[in-house]
Amino acid sequence: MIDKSLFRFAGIRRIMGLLATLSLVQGLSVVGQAYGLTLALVQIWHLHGLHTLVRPVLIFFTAFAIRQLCDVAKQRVATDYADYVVGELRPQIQRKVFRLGPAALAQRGTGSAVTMLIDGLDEVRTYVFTVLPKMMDMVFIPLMILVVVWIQDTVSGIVLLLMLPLLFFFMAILGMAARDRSNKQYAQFRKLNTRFMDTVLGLPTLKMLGISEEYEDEIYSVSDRFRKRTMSVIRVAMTSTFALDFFATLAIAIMAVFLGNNLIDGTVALFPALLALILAPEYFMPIRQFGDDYHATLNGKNALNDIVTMLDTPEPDHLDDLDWQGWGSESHLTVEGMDFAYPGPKPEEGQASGGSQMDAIAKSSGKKKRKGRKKSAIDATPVPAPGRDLDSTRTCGDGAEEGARQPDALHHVSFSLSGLTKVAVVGRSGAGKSTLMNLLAGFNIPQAGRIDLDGRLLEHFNARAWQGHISYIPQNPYIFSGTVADNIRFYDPDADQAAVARAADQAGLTDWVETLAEGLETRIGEGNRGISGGQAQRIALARVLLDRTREILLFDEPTAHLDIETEYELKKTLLPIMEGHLVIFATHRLHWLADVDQVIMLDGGRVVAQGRPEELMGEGGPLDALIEEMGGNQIADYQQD
Amino acid sequence: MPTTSRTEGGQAASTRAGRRTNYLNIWHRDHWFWPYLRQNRGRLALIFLLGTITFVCAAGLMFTSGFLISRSARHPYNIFAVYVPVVLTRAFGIGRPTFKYLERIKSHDWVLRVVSKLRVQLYRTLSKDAAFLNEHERTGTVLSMLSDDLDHLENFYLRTIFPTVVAYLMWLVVTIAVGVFSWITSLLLFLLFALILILVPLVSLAYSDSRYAEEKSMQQDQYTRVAENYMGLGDWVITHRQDRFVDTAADDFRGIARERHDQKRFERWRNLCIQMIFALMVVALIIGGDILMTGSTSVADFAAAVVLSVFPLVDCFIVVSQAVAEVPLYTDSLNHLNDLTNRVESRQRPRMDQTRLDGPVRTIDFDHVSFSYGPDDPLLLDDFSLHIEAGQKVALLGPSGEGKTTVLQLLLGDLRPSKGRILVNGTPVDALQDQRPELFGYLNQQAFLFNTTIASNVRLGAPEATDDQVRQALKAVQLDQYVESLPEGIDTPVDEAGNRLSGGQRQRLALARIVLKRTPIVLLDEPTIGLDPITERRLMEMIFRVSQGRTLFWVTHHLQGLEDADQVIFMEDGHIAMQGSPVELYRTNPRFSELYRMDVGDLDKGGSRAIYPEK
Repeated sequence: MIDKSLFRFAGIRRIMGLLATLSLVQGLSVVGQAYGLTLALVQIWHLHGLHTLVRPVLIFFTAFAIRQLCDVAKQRVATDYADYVVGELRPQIQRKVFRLGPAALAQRGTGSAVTMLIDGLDEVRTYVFTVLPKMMDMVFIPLMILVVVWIQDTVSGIVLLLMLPLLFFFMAILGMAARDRSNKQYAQFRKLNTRFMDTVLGLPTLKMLGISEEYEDEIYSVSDRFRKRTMSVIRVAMTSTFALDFFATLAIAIMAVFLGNNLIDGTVALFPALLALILAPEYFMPIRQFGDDYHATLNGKNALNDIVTMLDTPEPDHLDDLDWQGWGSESHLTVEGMDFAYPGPKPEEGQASGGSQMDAIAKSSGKKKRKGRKKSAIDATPVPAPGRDLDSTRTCGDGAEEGARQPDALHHVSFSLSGLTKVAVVGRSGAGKSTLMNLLAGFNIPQAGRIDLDGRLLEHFNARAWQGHISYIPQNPYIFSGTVADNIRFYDPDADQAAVARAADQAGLTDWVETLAEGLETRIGEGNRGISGGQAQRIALARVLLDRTREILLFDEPTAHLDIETEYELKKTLLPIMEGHLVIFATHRLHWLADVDQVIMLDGGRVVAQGRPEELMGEGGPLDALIEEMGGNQIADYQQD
Repeated sequence: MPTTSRTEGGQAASTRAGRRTNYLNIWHRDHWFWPYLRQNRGRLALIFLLGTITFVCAAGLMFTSGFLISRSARHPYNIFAVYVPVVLTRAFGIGRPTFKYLERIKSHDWVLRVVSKLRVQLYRTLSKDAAFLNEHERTGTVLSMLSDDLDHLENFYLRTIFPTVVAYLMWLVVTIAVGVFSWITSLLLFLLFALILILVPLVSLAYSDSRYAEEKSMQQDQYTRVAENYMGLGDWVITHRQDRFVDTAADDFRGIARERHDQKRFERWRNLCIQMIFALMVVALIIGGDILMTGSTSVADFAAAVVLSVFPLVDCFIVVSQAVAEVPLYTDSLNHLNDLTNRVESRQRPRMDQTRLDGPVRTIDFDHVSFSYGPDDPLLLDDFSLHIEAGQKVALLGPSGEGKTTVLQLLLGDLRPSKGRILVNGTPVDALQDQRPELFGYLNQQAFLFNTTIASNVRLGAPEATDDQVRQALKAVQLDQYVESLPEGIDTPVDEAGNRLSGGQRQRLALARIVLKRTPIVLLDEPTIGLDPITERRLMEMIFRVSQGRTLFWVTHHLQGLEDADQVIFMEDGHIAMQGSPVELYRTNPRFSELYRMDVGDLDKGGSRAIYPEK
């Protein structure tokens, strides 16, 4: 009924005590209200005049008012406490997300994490303010009423008491049946829903194939099956409410008839009989209300468990005491025998079925399970926040090509880098390029290996000192809603306007910015002006240019989704920026090889070649095989023939 | 797409400015709500009747049992004197839960039937604009219409319409029932109920109406900002700004919490008010009962009955205020749907008389075609002319945003040129719309696979194809071995295979559809985007192989695989900037050859640093 994890919050006992007291007072006033009412009715029955009613009516009215005020007070206490709980949880979740880092977030699914933070907390709020007062009511009020009724009239007391186990029994039995049934239906239910989503999302395809009209019937029949399924689940749930209702109402009816008989026999007086009758509905009320809300609170309970599990995830050590002053021309980094495998299944790439999207977007119906949309660790593609264009989630990353394969693990990866060099990391899809980049950024923690950074030994790169000197630019750089200037200032919030403008200029943004009415102060991002992939890359570059303290640039396929012209233009901007940095550049666009000092080629998670590009090419080695496989210059070949 | 966001933004802004929503006006031009209330009036009446009977039974139970006890306390001669109330008590006791159950079943069934029809209506509305579904409507908007908005309409019926109508019917029943005995009491009750059923709900509505839009915009803002920051978590982590990250959208969060807090407080005191009105009603009945019903014992026996029967009515009447307070939420959903209908209707164009080609496709012509989306929008195509002979492979290149996809949409007839004509064998494509699925095959960036079996996916559009033909099509795209290795072969559901199907395989599966359908013209809209170079190259080779002898129109911004095209057209500013065979262009056009060599990673020809002579 009540979740153990609620007890981790400060003050829960005090709140429960307060609520219990209020429930007790309320119980008393329920009795008082019934007492006053009965008294008044008995006076009328005795044909007494108005003056006899003053006291009973006052008692009734006062007790009634107290009872309602108790209700108000309980709800207020509970909602305030719910606000407090949620207010406590939110920063905790945020801090945890931050400490666990992007790899863990991608593993969970960005969409599911956003949902947890926003909808999950909402559900927890509802859960706390619903379940606490209702619980207290259910514990105290029926008991108090039972005692009063029993004292007044034993037979009625027995009827009420006997009804209770029956009520709980049916509630439990039917509740379980309903749960089993709905669990069983759930898969089917989801399938139909997915099917429907699918058909709508596939409308352009259906239209192209000229069969969109035929599918109208399909929609109806799927929808109708959907209705039948839903009805059969609802029917079970309703039967359980029906049983509850039935026994409660029946108890009152039986009591009334019993009381009538006993009154005729003269074994009971009018006052106790009427009081028992008036109290009977109040006896069942808290139980019924709890039953009504039980299913509603289930979501909140699950959400709370989900959050608590997440908060209890262990964090990696952040190596805060590493003393390292940044990368210079004399610096060196040696990685030896580094191993990494994703815990559990590898985060799968975005897949294009309507169903999976639906999972992410549909958060309204109570039945949805919190199934994490798992995403590639690097390609943290935008996730369906409302209004965000879902098409972006359909972008297939480059990982899962050609059937099943091993997780993108790394095996005994060793390399060493020194000075301000430019390094390209190349390989086929799924070779582990992105995994390596994530390890270097400190987002993934290697399971084994030795890292030597300027003579300091590290277990991983999740170190403040290291991360303070890197820039990490993924395929889709992070652009938040705000002005262009704010976005450029991200690494260095105090930079002045002139510096921002200079960085923007160097990053090749000037032409574009000049077309904007408000220039650098134009708002971009969600709900504002959209920007293209090339512009996003340039903004990310401007960030790098603005913050000179970050001498290490990590690029993960920065041009993979750009058209060739944009890529060409961007490359011209990028090349001068790369000078004077340690650049590590994961790419499958081989033209970059002409501009780097070193190549690390990965295959199946292992380093298969490493060296200067001129050394590795034309020797018939693995790099040549890769170039060959990617096609090469067929026109030139053709001309030569 | 821009249209959508603009209207949404405009609406939100105007509501935030504090303008009261005019509900009558919204429902005036409605396609999604009233029509369904008007249908099945009989069933609806039954639901309302059942709902009313439920509460009549509830009141009746308290009435008869109150009377039973009062009457019995007079010690009648025997039990038969109270026989009728005994029977009625039992009947009402059983009747209340039974009718309630029936009402709930009937109403849910009715609503779900309506929702089925709404889904079809949504589908039909969207399918009128199917070709542009992805452009005009954000996928997120469509999905939220499907799940949230239809859900809201469902709740609108269940939580607002039904309880409110039943409450009003009960109001009528009570007024008449009491009026039979005392019209003054009836009038008094009528007025007190009017407070609960009219005044308080209107106040609730006014209260929630002013807050709803604000809370919603904060919630959306919170979503956006949290999602954004989660996606950019890597950047936050490497800048070590934990505190600012933790604070993400905290102001929205607190704002929403404050709104909810106020709202709850309002609800608490509102419900208290309603309860106190009931208390007054009870007091009035007690006093009235004492004045009017103490004339004789037989009348006085009814006093308790009358007073007690008020209590079950609380349940019936108290829900109305909350039900009405939720109207803004439902109206919002209704607006989304009605706006969709209006948007789609406004985009419909008159259809031309349809004809059929009398032979195979011989030529395709763009005859001085100009196109822009509106008179004020820039020209995407400006006097564009192109002649294609059947069987040619034409590649359309150019920077993004250059109207390459527009060319395909014009050719399909989904868009109509502002000037000029598009002809197949000399017939305008507008007149060939009925034949269009037989003429054009289409493969875009992310082929859509339906969540059924592999076979059904391939067979789409060629439903009469046999399993063998499906297998042959799969063989043509080299998926045959893979598919046979799956547990159920071609009958394996795509979603189960989904984890195993890669981007390239999905595109190939979609290609198998085209193979099976044998359309004479194949349109490709950047089919390899997002694929890695190796997969990209293999897919293109396959596409060329299976479309041997067909006309191929290929929009791309990668130059990989371009060697096999008969004609390359380079678009710029709505014009053709370069045109010719790939070899010719490579030889004569330095820009083309430079881009080409970069795209294929051409390093070893003539020295590795030679691509950029300026360096």
